[in-house]
Amino acid sequence: MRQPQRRIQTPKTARRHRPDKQPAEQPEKTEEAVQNLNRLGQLTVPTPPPESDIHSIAIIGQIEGHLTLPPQNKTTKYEHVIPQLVAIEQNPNIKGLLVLLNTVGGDVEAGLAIAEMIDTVSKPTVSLVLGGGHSIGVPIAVSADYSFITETATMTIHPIRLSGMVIGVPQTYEYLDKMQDRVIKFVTKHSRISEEKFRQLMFCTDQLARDIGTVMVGKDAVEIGLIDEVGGLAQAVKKLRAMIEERQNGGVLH
Amino acid sequence: MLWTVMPLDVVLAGSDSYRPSYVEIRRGQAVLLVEATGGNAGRLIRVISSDPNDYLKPELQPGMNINLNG
Repeated sequence: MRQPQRRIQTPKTARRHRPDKQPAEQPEKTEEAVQNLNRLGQLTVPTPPPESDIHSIAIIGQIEGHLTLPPQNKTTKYEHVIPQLVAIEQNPNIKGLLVLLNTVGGDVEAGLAIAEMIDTVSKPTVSLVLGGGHSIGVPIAVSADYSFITETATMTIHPIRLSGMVIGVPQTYEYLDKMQDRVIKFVTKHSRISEEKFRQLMFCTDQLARDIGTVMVGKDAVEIGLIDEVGGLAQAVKKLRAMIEERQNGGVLH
Repeated sequence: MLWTVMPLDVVLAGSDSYRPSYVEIRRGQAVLLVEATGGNAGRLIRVISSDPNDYLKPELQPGMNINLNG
Protein backbone atom coordinates (compact mmCIF):
# COMPACT_ATOMS: atom_id res chain seq x y z
CA MET A 1 0.00 0.00 0.00
CA ARG A 2 2.72 2.46 0.90
CA GLN A 3 4.85 2.25 -2.18
CA PRO A 4 2.23 3.50 -4.66
CA GLN A 5 1.26 6.34 -2.34
CA ARG A 6 4.81 7.64 -2.30
CA ARG A 7 5.09 7.49 -6.05
CA ILE A 8 2.07 9.70 -6.41
CA GLN A 9 3.55 12.34 -4.15
CA THR A 10 6.90 12.68 -5.86
CA PRO A 11 5.73 13.65 -9.37
CA LYS A 12 3.30 16.16 -7.87
CA THR A 13 6.04 18.26 -6.32
CA ALA A 14 8.38 17.69 -9.22
CA ARG A 15 5.79 18.79 -11.77
CA ARG A 16 5.37 22.11 -10.07
CA HIS A 17 8.96 23.15 -10.77
CA ARG A 18 9.74 21.53 -14.07
CA PRO A 19 7.66 23.07 -16.87
CA ASP A 20 8.85 26.66 -16.68
CA LYS A 21 12.41 25.98 -15.60
CA GLN A 22 13.67 23.27 -17.87
CA PRO A 23 13.38 24.87 -21.31
CA ALA A 24 15.02 28.05 -20.07
CA GLU A 25 17.92 26.28 -18.42
CA GLN A 26 18.72 23.84 -21.18
CA PRO A 27 20.58 26.08 -23.69
CA GLU A 28 22.37 27.90 -20.93
CA LYS A 29 23.61 24.64 -19.49
CA THR A 30 24.89 23.42 -22.85
CA GLU A 31 26.78 26.65 -23.39
CA GLU A 32 28.24 26.46 -19.92
CA ALA A 33 29.29 22.87 -20.50
CA VAL A 34 31.09 23.80 -23.73
CA GLN A 35 32.85 26.67 -21.97
CA ASN A 36 33.94 24.38 -19.18
CA LEU A 37 35.20 21.86 -21.69
CA ASN A 38 37.24 24.55 -23.46
CA ARG A 39 38.65 26.16 -20.38
CA LEU A 40 39.04 23.34 -17.93
CA GLY A 41 38.96 20.20 -20.01
CA GLN A 42 35.99 18.87 -18.10
CA LEU A 43 32.28 18.96 -18.56
CA THR A 44 31.06 19.89 -15.13
CA VAL A 45 32.47 22.11 -12.46
CA PRO A 46 31.08 22.08 -8.95
CA THR A 47 28.45 24.78 -8.66
CA PRO A 48 26.99 25.89 -5.35
CA PRO A 49 23.60 24.31 -4.77
CA PRO A 50 20.62 26.67 -4.64
CA GLU A 51 20.01 27.99 -1.16
CA SER A 52 17.44 25.97 0.74
CA ASP A 53 14.78 27.61 2.87
CA ILE A 54 14.76 24.53 5.08
CA HIS A 55 17.80 23.85 7.18
CA SER A 56 18.52 20.52 8.80
CA ILE A 57 20.63 19.73 11.82
CA ALA A 58 21.79 16.17 12.41
CA ILE A 59 22.13 15.18 16.05
CA ILE A 60 24.37 12.11 15.78
CA GLY A 61 26.52 9.91 17.98
CA GLN A 62 27.29 11.19 21.45
CA ILE A 63 26.08 14.62 22.40
CA GLU A 64 29.29 16.18 23.61
CA GLY A 65 29.01 18.55 26.51
CA HIS A 66 31.43 19.95 29.02
CA LEU A 67 33.91 17.13 28.47
CA THR A 68 35.72 16.59 25.16
CA LEU A 69 35.30 12.93 24.30
CA PRO A 70 38.14 10.82 22.87
CA PRO A 71 38.27 10.65 19.06
CA GLN A 72 36.68 7.20 18.64
CA ASN A 73 33.36 8.85 19.47
CA LYS A 74 31.26 10.47 16.80
CA THR A 75 29.94 13.53 18.50
CA THR A 76 27.48 16.36 18.16
CA LYS A 77 29.10 19.49 19.48
CA TYR A 78 26.55 21.56 21.34
CA GLU A 79 28.70 24.69 21.30
CA HIS A 80 28.37 24.66 17.50
CA VAL A 81 24.72 23.62 17.28
CA ILE A 82 23.51 26.36 19.62
CA PRO A 83 24.81 29.34 17.57
CA GLN A 84 23.60 27.53 14.43
CA LEU A 85 20.12 27.65 15.92
CA VAL A 86 20.58 31.36 16.61
CA ALA A 87 21.52 31.88 12.95
CA ILE A 88 18.53 29.83 11.79
CA GLU A 89 16.20 31.83 14.05
CA GLN A 90 17.35 35.23 12.85
CA ASN A 91 17.93 34.52 9.14
CA PRO A 92 14.81 35.61 7.21
CA ASN A 93 15.65 33.26 4.30
CA ILE A 94 15.31 30.20 6.50
CA LYS A 95 11.69 29.21 6.91
CA GLY A 96 11.87 25.94 8.77
CA LEU A 97 14.12 23.50 10.61
CA LEU A 98 14.37 19.74 10.28
CA VAL A 99 16.16 17.96 13.13
CA LEU A 100 17.49 14.49 12.30
CA LEU A 101 18.33 12.28 15.24
CA ASN A 102 20.49 9.20 15.41
CA THR A 103 22.04 9.49 18.82
CA VAL A 104 23.05 7.20 21.66
CA GLY A 105 22.62 9.97 24.22
CA GLY A 106 25.27 12.03 25.92
CA ASP A 107 25.67 15.06 28.14
CA VAL A 108 22.48 15.92 29.99
CA GLU A 109 23.08 19.66 30.19
CA ALA A 110 24.15 19.97 26.55
CA GLY A 111 21.22 17.84 25.38
CA LEU A 112 18.73 19.86 27.39
CA ALA A 113 20.27 23.09 26.10
CA ILE A 114 19.80 21.95 22.48
CA ALA A 115 16.25 20.78 23.26
CA GLU A 116 15.34 24.12 24.84
CA MET A 117 16.79 26.00 21.87
CA ILE A 118 14.85 23.91 19.32
CA ASP A 119 11.71 24.31 21.40
CA THR A 120 11.99 28.10 21.40
CA VAL A 121 12.81 28.55 17.69
CA SER A 122 9.86 30.59 16.43
CA LYS A 123 9.94 28.95 12.98
CA PRO A 124 8.30 25.60 12.26
CA THR A 125 10.44 22.68 13.45
CA VAL A 126 10.07 18.98 12.71
CA SER A 127 12.17 16.18 14.17
CA LEU A 128 12.81 12.75 12.68
CA VAL A 129 14.22 9.90 14.73
CA LEU A 130 16.25 7.54 12.54
CA GLY A 131 18.07 4.53 13.89
CA GLY A 132 18.02 5.59 17.50
CA GLY A 133 17.11 8.47 19.75
CA HIS A 134 18.16 7.23 23.14
CA SER A 135 18.50 8.74 26.61
CA ILE A 136 19.09 12.49 26.23
CA GLY A 137 18.00 12.14 22.57
CA VAL A 138 14.42 11.74 23.84
CA PRO A 139 13.94 15.35 25.00
CA ILE A 140 15.55 16.60 21.78
CA ALA A 141 13.15 14.50 19.70
CA VAL A 142 10.10 15.88 21.45
CA SER A 143 11.35 19.48 21.47
CA ALA A 144 10.32 20.09 17.84
CA ASP A 145 6.81 21.31 16.98
CA TYR A 146 6.07 17.96 15.36
CA SER A 147 7.99 14.70 15.67
CA PHE A 148 8.40 11.66 13.47
CA ILE A 149 10.01 8.30 14.05
CA THR A 150 10.86 5.76 11.36
CA GLU A 151 9.33 2.30 11.68
CA THR A 152 12.59 0.66 12.68
CA ALA A 153 14.04 3.40 14.89
CA THR A 154 14.31 2.80 18.61
CA MET A 155 14.20 5.02 21.66
CA THR A 156 15.53 3.91 25.03
CA ILE A 157 14.27 5.47 28.22
CA HIS A 158 16.29 4.54 31.27
CA PRO A 159 17.19 6.19 34.57
CA ILE A 160 20.15 8.55 34.60
CA ARG A 161 21.81 7.10 37.65
CA LEU A 162 22.19 3.44 36.75
CA SER A 163 24.74 1.13 35.14
CA GLY A 164 27.77 3.38 35.37
CA MET A 165 26.47 6.00 33.02
CA VAL A 166 27.31 8.84 35.34
CA ILE A 167 30.76 10.36 35.43
CA GLY A 168 32.55 13.11 37.25
CA VAL A 169 32.45 13.90 40.93
CA PRO A 170 30.59 11.45 43.15
CA GLN A 171 26.97 12.23 42.52
CA THR A 172 24.49 12.38 45.34
CA TYR A 173 21.16 10.69 44.99
CA GLU A 174 19.32 14.00 45.29
CA TYR A 175 21.37 15.60 42.54
CA LEU A 176 20.74 12.74 40.13
CA ASP A 177 17.09 12.79 41.00
CA LYS A 178 16.97 16.49 40.21
CA MET A 179 18.67 15.97 36.84
CA GLN A 180 16.21 13.23 36.07
CA ASP A 181 13.28 15.43 37.05
CA ARG A 182 14.46 18.13 34.64
CA VAL A 183 14.43 15.67 31.78
CA ILE A 184 11.08 14.14 32.75
CA LYS A 185 9.48 17.57 33.09
CA PHE A 186 10.75 18.64 29.69
CA VAL A 187 9.58 15.48 27.95
CA THR A 188 6.12 15.42 29.53
CA LYS A 189 5.63 19.12 28.80
CA HIS A 190 6.48 18.69 25.11
CA SER A 191 4.73 15.41 24.30
CA ARG A 192 1.45 13.67 25.01
CA ILE A 193 2.96 11.24 27.50
CA SER A 194 2.07 11.64 31.18
CA GLU A 195 4.72 11.94 33.87
CA GLU A 196 3.43 8.80 35.53
CA LYS A 197 3.69 6.78 32.31
CA PHE A 198 7.15 8.11 31.51
CA ARG A 199 8.43 7.18 34.96
CA GLN A 200 6.85 3.76 34.60
CA LEU A 201 8.76 3.20 31.30
CA MET A 202 11.94 4.54 32.83
CA PHE A 203 11.88 2.12 35.75
CA CYS A 204 10.53 -0.90 33.90
CA THR A 205 12.47 -4.01 34.96
CA ASP A 206 11.58 -6.63 32.37
CA GLN A 207 12.64 -4.97 29.12
CA LEU A 208 16.39 -4.44 29.10
CA ALA A 209 18.91 -7.19 29.72
CA ARG A 210 21.44 -5.28 31.82
CA ASP A 211 19.54 -2.24 32.94
CA ILE A 212 16.10 -1.08 33.88
CA GLY A 213 14.14 0.96 31.40
CA THR A 214 12.26 0.49 28.13
CA VAL A 215 13.14 0.27 24.47
CA MET A 216 10.45 1.46 22.11
CA VAL A 217 10.47 0.65 18.43
CA GLY A 218 8.81 2.98 15.90
CA LYS A 219 5.11 2.91 16.47
CA ASP A 220 5.46 2.02 20.19
CA ALA A 221 6.78 5.54 20.74
CA VAL A 222 3.78 6.97 18.89
CA GLU A 223 1.23 4.82 20.70
CA ILE A 224 2.64 5.81 24.05
CA GLY A 225 2.36 9.49 23.11
CA LEU A 226 6.04 10.36 23.01
CA ILE A 227 6.31 10.94 19.25
CA ASP A 228 3.56 12.34 17.01
CA GLU A 229 3.75 10.08 13.97
CA VAL A 230 5.53 7.16 12.30
CA GLY A 231 7.11 8.35 9.08
CA GLY A 232 10.25 8.94 7.08
CA LEU A 233 11.99 11.76 5.30
CA ALA A 234 9.20 12.45 2.79
CA GLN A 235 6.57 12.74 5.49
CA ALA A 236 8.78 14.92 7.67
CA VAL A 237 9.60 17.36 4.86
CA LYS A 238 5.98 17.42 3.71
CA LYS A 239 4.82 18.23 7.23
CA LEU A 240 7.43 20.96 7.58
CA ARG A 241 6.39 22.47 4.24
CA ALA A 242 2.74 22.39 5.30
CA MET A 243 3.59 24.10 8.58
CA ILE A 244 5.60 26.78 6.77
CA GLU A 245 2.73 27.38 4.37
CA GLU A 246 0.24 27.55 7.20
CA ARG A 247 2.44 30.05 8.99
CA GLN A 248 2.69 32.23 5.90
CA ASN A 249 -1.03 32.08 5.18
CA GLY A 250 -1.92 32.78 8.77
CA GLY A 251 0.07 35.99 8.53
CA VAL A 252 2.04 35.24 11.67
CA LEU A 253 5.47 36.74 11.22
CA HIS A 254 8.47 35.44 13.01
CA MET B 1 27.18 14.11 33.29
CA LEU B 2 26.59 11.56 30.56
CA TRP B 3 23.26 9.85 30.01
CA THR B 4 23.75 7.35 27.25
CA VAL B 5 23.05 3.78 26.23
CA MET B 6 26.72 3.31 25.30
CA PRO B 7 28.85 1.65 27.99
CA LEU B 8 30.98 4.27 29.68
CA ASP B 9 34.22 2.35 29.18
CA VAL B 10 33.63 2.45 25.42
CA VAL B 11 32.86 6.16 25.40
CA LEU B 12 35.83 7.12 27.51
CA ALA B 13 38.39 4.62 26.16
CA GLY B 14 41.68 6.36 25.48
CA SER B 15 40.71 9.59 27.20
CA ASP B 16 43.82 9.38 29.40
CA SER B 17 46.24 9.28 26.50
CA TYR B 18 44.34 11.65 24.18
CA ARG B 19 46.27 14.92 24.38
CA PRO B 20 45.69 16.90 21.21
CA SER B 21 47.50 20.18 20.68
CA TYR B 22 45.26 23.06 19.71
CA VAL B 23 46.16 26.32 18.05
CA GLU B 24 44.01 29.39 17.66
CA ILE B 25 43.85 31.13 14.31
CA ARG B 26 41.80 34.07 13.14
CA ARG B 27 39.54 33.92 10.07
CA GLY B 28 37.71 37.16 9.47
CA GLN B 29 35.99 37.96 12.70
CA ALA B 30 36.00 34.37 13.89
CA VAL B 31 38.60 32.68 16.02
CA LEU B 32 39.09 29.04 15.13
CA LEU B 33 40.37 26.42 17.51
CA VAL B 34 42.29 24.00 15.32
CA GLU B 35 43.91 20.69 16.17
CA ALA B 36 47.32 20.62 14.48
CA THR B 37 47.64 17.42 12.49
CA GLY B 38 51.14 18.00 11.09
CA GLY B 39 52.75 20.61 8.85
CA ASN B 40 50.35 23.39 8.02
CA ALA B 41 47.36 21.12 8.23
CA GLY B 42 44.82 21.13 10.99
CA ARG B 43 41.37 19.94 11.83
CA LEU B 44 38.77 22.46 12.93
CA ILE B 45 37.58 21.77 16.46
CA ARG B 46 35.66 24.84 17.43
CA VAL B 47 34.49 28.16 16.05
CA ILE B 48 34.37 31.17 18.34
CA SER B 49 32.44 34.04 16.84
CA SER B 50 29.71 36.43 17.81
CA ASP B 51 28.22 36.31 14.30
CA PRO B 52 25.80 33.36 14.25
CA ASN B 53 26.10 33.13 10.45
CA ASP B 54 29.69 31.97 10.86
CA TYR B 55 28.30 28.74 12.30
CA LEU B 56 26.35 27.99 9.12
CA LYS B 57 29.35 28.40 6.81
CA PRO B 58 30.23 25.06 5.23
CA GLU B 59 33.97 25.71 5.53
CA LEU B 60 33.66 26.43 9.23
CA GLN B 61 32.08 23.17 10.37
CA PRO B 62 33.88 21.13 13.04
CA GLY B 63 36.06 18.43 11.52
CA MET B 64 36.94 20.43 8.37
CA ASN B 65 40.54 20.47 7.28
CA ILE B 66 42.11 23.88 7.76
CA ASN B 67 45.34 25.28 6.40
CA LEU B 68 46.95 26.98 9.37
CA ASN B 69 48.58 29.62 7.16
CA GLY B 70 45.26 30.58 5.63
